[in-house]
Amino acid sequence: MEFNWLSLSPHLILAGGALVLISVAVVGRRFAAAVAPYFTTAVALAAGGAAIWLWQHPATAWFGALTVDPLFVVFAVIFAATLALVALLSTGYGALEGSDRPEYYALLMLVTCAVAFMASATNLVLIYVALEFSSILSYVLVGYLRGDRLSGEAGLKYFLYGAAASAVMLLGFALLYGLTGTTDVGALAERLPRMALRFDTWGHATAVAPTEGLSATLSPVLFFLAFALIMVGLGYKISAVPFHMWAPDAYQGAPTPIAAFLSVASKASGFAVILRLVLALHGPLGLVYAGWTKYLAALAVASMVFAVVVGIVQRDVRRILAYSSIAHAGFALLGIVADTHLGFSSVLVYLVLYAAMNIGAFGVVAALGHVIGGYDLKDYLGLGRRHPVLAAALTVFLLALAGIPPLAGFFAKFYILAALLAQGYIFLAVVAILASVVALFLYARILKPMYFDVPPAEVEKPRRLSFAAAAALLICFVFTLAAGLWPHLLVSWAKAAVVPLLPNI
Amino acid sequence: MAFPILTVTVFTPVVGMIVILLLPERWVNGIRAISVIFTAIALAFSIWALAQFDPNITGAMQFEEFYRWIPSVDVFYHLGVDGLSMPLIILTTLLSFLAAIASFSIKERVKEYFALYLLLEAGMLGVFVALDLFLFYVFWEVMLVPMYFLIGIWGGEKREYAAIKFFLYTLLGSVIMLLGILALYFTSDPHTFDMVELMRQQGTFLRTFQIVVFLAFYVGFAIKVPVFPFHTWLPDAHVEAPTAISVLLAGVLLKMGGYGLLRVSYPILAQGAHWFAWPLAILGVINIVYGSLVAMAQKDLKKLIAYSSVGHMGFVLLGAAAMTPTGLNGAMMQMINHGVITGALFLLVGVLYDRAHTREIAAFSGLAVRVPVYVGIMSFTMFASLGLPGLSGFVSEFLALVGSFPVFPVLVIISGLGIVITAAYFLWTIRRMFLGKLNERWATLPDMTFRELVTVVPLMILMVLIGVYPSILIKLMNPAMTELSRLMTALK
Repeated sequence: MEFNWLSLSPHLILAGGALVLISVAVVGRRFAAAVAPYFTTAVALAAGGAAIWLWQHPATAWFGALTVDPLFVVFAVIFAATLALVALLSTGYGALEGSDRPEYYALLMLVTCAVAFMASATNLVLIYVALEFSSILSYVLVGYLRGDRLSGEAGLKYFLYGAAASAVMLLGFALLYGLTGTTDVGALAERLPRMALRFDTWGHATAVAPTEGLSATLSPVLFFLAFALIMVGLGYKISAVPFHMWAPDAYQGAPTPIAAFLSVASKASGFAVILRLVLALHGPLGLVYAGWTKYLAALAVASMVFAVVVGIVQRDVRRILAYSSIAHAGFALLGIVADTHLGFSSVLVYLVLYAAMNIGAFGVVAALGHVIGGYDLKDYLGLGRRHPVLAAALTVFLLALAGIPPLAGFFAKFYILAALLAQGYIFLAVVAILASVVALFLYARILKPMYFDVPPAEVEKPRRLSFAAAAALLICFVFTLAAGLWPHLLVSWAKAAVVPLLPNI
Repeated sequence: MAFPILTVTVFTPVVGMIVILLLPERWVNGIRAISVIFTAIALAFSIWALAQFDPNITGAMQFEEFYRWIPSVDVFYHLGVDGLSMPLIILTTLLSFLAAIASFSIKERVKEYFALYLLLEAGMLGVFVALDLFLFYVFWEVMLVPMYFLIGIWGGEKREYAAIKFFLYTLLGSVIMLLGILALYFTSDPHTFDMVELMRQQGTFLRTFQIVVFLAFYVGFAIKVPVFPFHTWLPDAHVEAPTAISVLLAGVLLKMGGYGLLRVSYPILAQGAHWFAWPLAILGVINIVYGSLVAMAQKDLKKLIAYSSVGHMGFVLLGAAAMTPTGLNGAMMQMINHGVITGALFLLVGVLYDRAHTREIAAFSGLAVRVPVYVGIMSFTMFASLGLPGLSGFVSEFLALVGSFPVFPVLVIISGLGIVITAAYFLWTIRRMFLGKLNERWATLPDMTFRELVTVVPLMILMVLIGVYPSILIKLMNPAMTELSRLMTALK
């Protein structure tokens, strides 16, 4: 297939936007700083628009290393929307005011470009490169507040975890390459099933058509090992337990809009790669399969249960939200465990709805950090009286995250549960709902000081919130309400994105 | 297209909520008046629906509304009422209206209070008109949030604990119910959330499946009723909640459990219901006897009434478990009567608490001398609650017992014990609080105001009316209950 540069337009727009902004900053620094957030928003909208255009024009490029298909489009839209909202929210985040603003926004565009590459990469090498690309940029953004010790520490911690996790993932990729002789994700699907045809009762299989560099015997144990190692890197990206340890520190230390970005776009990019691998490996590979669903189910249960239990004792709102995002990663993984059209599309629906409500929640927390200057639960005392609108918005986002209908989070969870029950995973469904009930307590811990307690006698004079940040919050708010009430279109798009990739189930 | 009377009734309070949110906070009296007006409009709409309602149509819903909502998961916006839901809708709109007037005693954060209050009313009404399980669940949950804040912000001393306990308890029940809903969806063929369609398909569900799903729904409903041993949230929530909210808790929220049982579990999971009939009846008797005994031991007047609710709701379970037409009528009627009587009792406790700032039974004596009107009304309502013949409570308890005697004779006899205890603790309370020598501390206690009388008197009229002429209510629901009983016998 002739490669069309237009297929890469979302990636190119994002990268180009970053370069333009940096170049302009060289000439007119003050001008660049003033327009940066709005320029970034415009770039995000252009990239999102280009991605939507690609829905009708799927393509593969670079010898199959890059695939632009509806699945990519869904993720690209999540990334672009996240970028736009985070850029707008950053204008309301006071701690950024003294920093080098043009570079901050340029890095934000570049990291979005990197996660877009992750979502479209279909070659193991390119996946690794894109993941590293996005991680390195994220480390910089997390540690962006140079004067803030917490931010620096968070960046370093994030970096150390990330470096180790991606190295382990690379080992998994190498193992997969050794087993199959290819780094092409599409070709994995062609080779593994044929080899798998000769699985004997002991789990050893002989390849039907061994090619050069391919071992004649494929052990499901080795395959499982490869998958498990890869999941270390991806589990780190989606912050699933036990690869989550960086998340609370990073979310607390990072500029809060960056925490929103990490918890939504970065997490979604991890899911994109997991979906790519799982979808590509889908086939008559029954024996190995059972292994990975159980493995993902274990990660999911561990994430949900651990996060809600540990989250309860936190006092910093950003840390509470970090644990909430870990629990949500676990919940979304369950959709992949279900391993059906319904399951995969439910993950996409979940990620889109989660993006709106989680950016909203982090957005309000960021705005409050600017307005009242604190993130501790005691800073939130009587917030319902002091800032009724922001408090009400945060309440809606938290209730949405808790899964209370008719807000977005309810339908997201409902759809995943439906996918689980359709496959008879009753135990997982029960664990998921019990974890959700406990999670409500997590969110109620933030609601309680806001509404049930009286404000402290002396409060500092609040600062004003920027118009752009307020607009971003309003968008999240409307989407959280509307998508929860009327998720039909979203569901049809998610189905349309997943079904062509799974013709045989 | 016919006038969508049900949608209009349900969403009138939502419109009211939006109006109130747009008003300035300091305009306290305006907010109060508008809230009362909107609850009155909802009441008027529901009465208008009642006027057009034909109780003799069975096997079909009335005022049905049916729209596509989320076609990709087969969810429809399906509303409708029958003899089972119509009386409960009237109960809801009436109590919401009266409790809105009683809410004038709320002095702080009035705007937020009434906004949440109206949202709560919409959620309650929605539960009784929804015929799609997804929609039913949405309304069921929507109600929890305003309730959580209403208890947590305007409640008593331990309000935070009571609010979160209520929220977690009921959420736990409802998410387990959600699994049951999904199980029904995937087992039905074609897949559907529609209650009417599921009733039609119920013959295709295996017995074991029915039992499991019945239990899933039962947890959700039992927590709401509340059935022993799921009742522990109730005394906390009732005692801590502000007066008007206690009224709605006891008057309407508790009915949702019984309603769900008769609307969802019985017709859709008939074999599960038959399998569970004995345990349900036994739990009902435990509720009656245990609830009454615990009520007797209470020192706090509000807690006493909260526990009396546990006892009274036991009759609902007993009558429902019997599945005879009389038993079902008794159960239904007990729900309405309990809503009216206990609603009034909570209003009256509020009246006393607003003046005395204590609810300790031992703190009062000889009140009859000082506040005769209050004592008269309170005693009257307590008599209704303990089942004095001539007042409404008697009729429904009698029907529930008569209806279940042929099925569970021994249990009915045991539950007679509960009636005696109920009479004992109410009479004992009257003696301790109202008779004897006046405690000098209350020498200046003012009697009931006009506004307070307005909230209670309509309920007293209903108590007498239903007590003397029960057919007014029975006519409304008997055809539906007879049909349900017939259906249950046929599906045994």
